[in-house]
Amino acid sequence: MRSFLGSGLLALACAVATAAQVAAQTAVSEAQAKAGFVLNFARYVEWPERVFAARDAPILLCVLGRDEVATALTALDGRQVQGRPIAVRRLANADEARPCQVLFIAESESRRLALTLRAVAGQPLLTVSDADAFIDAGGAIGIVRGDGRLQFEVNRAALDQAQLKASSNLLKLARNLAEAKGRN
Amino acid sequence: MLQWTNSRPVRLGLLLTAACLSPPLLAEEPAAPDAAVAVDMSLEDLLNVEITSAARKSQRLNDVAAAVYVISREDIERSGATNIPEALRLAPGVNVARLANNRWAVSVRGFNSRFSNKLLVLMDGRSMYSHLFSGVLWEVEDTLLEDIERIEVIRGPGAAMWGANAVNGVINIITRRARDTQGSLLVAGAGSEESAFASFRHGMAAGDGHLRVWGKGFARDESVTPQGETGNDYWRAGRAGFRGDWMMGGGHRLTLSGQAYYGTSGDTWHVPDIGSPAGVTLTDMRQKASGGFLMARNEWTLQGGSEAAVQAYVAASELEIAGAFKEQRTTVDLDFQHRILLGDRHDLVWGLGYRHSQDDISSGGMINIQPQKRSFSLVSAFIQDEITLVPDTLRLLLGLRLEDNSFSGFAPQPNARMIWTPSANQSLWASVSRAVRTPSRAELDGQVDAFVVPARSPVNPTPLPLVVSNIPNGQDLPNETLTAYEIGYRHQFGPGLSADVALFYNLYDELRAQMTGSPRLVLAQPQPYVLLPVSPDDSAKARTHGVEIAVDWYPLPWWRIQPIYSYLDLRASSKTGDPASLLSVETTNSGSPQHQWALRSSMSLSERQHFDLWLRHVGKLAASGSPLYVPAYTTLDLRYAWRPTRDFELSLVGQNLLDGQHPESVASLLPSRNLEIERGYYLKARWQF
Repeated sequence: MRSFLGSGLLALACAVATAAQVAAQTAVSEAQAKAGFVLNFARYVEWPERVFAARDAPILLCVLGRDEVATALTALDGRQVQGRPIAVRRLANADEARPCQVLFIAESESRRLALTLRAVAGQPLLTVSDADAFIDAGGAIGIVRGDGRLQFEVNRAALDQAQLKASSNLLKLARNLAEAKGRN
Repeated sequence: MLQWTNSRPVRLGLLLTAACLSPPLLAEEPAAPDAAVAVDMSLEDLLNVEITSAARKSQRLNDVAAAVYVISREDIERSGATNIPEALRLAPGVNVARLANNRWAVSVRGFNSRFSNKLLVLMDGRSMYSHLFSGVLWEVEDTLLEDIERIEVIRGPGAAMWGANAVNGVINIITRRARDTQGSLLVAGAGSEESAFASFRHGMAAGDGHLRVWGKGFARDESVTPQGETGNDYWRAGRAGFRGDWMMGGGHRLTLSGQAYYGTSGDTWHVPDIGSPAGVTLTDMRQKASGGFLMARNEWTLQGGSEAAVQAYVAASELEIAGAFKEQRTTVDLDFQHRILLGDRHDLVWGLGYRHSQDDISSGGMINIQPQKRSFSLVSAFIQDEITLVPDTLRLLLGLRLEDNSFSGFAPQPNARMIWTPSANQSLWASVSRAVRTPSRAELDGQVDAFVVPARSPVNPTPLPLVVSNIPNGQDLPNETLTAYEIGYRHQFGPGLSADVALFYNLYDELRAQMTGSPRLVLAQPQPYVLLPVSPDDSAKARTHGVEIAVDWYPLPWWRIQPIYSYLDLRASSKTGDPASLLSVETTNSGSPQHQWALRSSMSLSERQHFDLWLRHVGKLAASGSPLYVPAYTTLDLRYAWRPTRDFELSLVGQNLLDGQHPESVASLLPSRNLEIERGYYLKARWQF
């Protein structure tokens, strides 16, 4: 009887361990996935040619705030996008964003969102954040969570204002622009 | 030494272990290689990655100088809760007692009863606090659970920011933006206690924004009396609503929302009756609630980057308990807020508010509320400055709210908080605050026959029955006041483990109790009686202290464990020693348990299967032998959910599994019969298309 119980428990442990293995194989941290999104946004957005000093000038990815996503973004340094290397730079405040092409605003900065966006308004800058209601505050691309997965929302007016062109592939996958299918 | 391997189960165990623990699991720590993998994934693949980390939530909380717990949409779904009060059991420091299948008592940090009056509950900024009873009628207020984005449970006074009655806590129910609920959703289910329920939602683009419309309906089964008879606490309700969010010109963001509802629920009262030998007649009551609201909110950014919001709502409701009272009420509420960042150091928020609530109450039988019509008005102003003393490290919050209401006059509610965040994953905060609870219409104007002591009984040997009746004596009732001291600490130990501890010491004064009046002979026909009036007064005071602990732990990426514990020591005392005052104080002292704990386990066995477990313990109320005694109980909920496709889910939920039935509270204010909560099961289907 005891051995029956014992093997039953072990079979359960075995099943759990197998499930754990499956889960571990697909485990991607939220911060890493968000960094992956940012890299893709840089891939699908076109800047006016004049913002780059030279043909091989880097795309400057600037990060405002401190959290895990900000840390994960440093892994993008040196990657190639649209034939240009990415250079990651950490900013102390929004006034330093003038030379940047992408500005990621960490959630830790969400209290100053309106002020930050105002400081960079009109610049050819792609603003990205995972802060709540980012595109409502005037940001260009917001990373949001829904149904246990990450999604993103695009503010087309903000892209126009920043003179950026987003590929139709990007717009098609944006949650707020997609046809129906909220996936919520 | 080798002998132990000879025991058969162990040897079998070793064999199985060797068989099923293959190298990838033993190797562990997949973080480093995955970092590169995630970054290089395509957009399509990233959209399909399942995220299970808790980091986001705790990071946001790390910044708050108050005892806050956030119940997320996922938490609600995985708890199996079918309504808001049941979902509130998820938060530490909250005591939820189900009085019947259609009535709840919910409080934070003590003083629980069906009409717990020291807790302010808001849904999207709309107050759900009843002016008639003080407190929330949980059988009246509701929404589509799937539309709730999160519930923020703030323990401790939030009066400086949120206004009067946010004495022991504030609960903010925040619904999802319309653009987050696009497409259609259909939910339907049935079970033993949840006889049947169904809801529908459809979200669409509308102009420069999005709109959703929704509806829900349900019928719940009756619970049982301690003897096992049916409890007459049926509940049937229907509700429909909408919400739209639009971007307007000039950066204005407009939100319009509204709701309409109708519901009937049952109850059985011990109605005092001088004609009956026992002094009471058991009477079946029927409650009807209907109403609705319309709300508009506009937010915009001003020149210079400051943010403003203006909000207005109008609500109308009708609540009738046939044979007792019928309340019709119309409320108009206006609110303005402006947030300015001054330099690098000051984050200033100020606001103005106005509310007018007009009622029309007809009453009869054991209840008499006079005058029939009365209005309540409230004017308020608040300011809060969040001062950064050391960037990213030390902040001081100073807040003050001034309120003037037509029931109890002027009340200042100040608040000071300090938060120290030595690192991104640690914070220590402390606060001192003052809050008030305004008297309710029922307290001020409600005459209620409490009970009858029959003639020639041991307590009343006289030949006439004695009627004890609650009769306001015309004196002004002041606000109840609280001075609160709190301290809290939060620590994120790593990506998978965080802990939150809060301690509090509260001093209450002018607490509501009662005083005995002089008995008088009433020569009524056919039965003369002696009337003993008791009147509400402010003769009680209390002090409470306690601690709340919440831990959030991911032992494995797909397994989340959340233990919570709350301790409360409540001592109320009478300042007069009047028998009625002492009785009120005894009721207050026995309303809330000293110990509560819960353990939740959420397993994402695979992308298609979830298995959730929720074990809860609630300490006893009052001492055994007291009429207010409710024994401690421990119970268990289980949920298994299966998603054959990403858009379709079936879940089976078992609730209160550890016993056939148990009581959670005793009736207060209204003389409802005590009922017990039964074990229940339901099956639910959820389809998005």
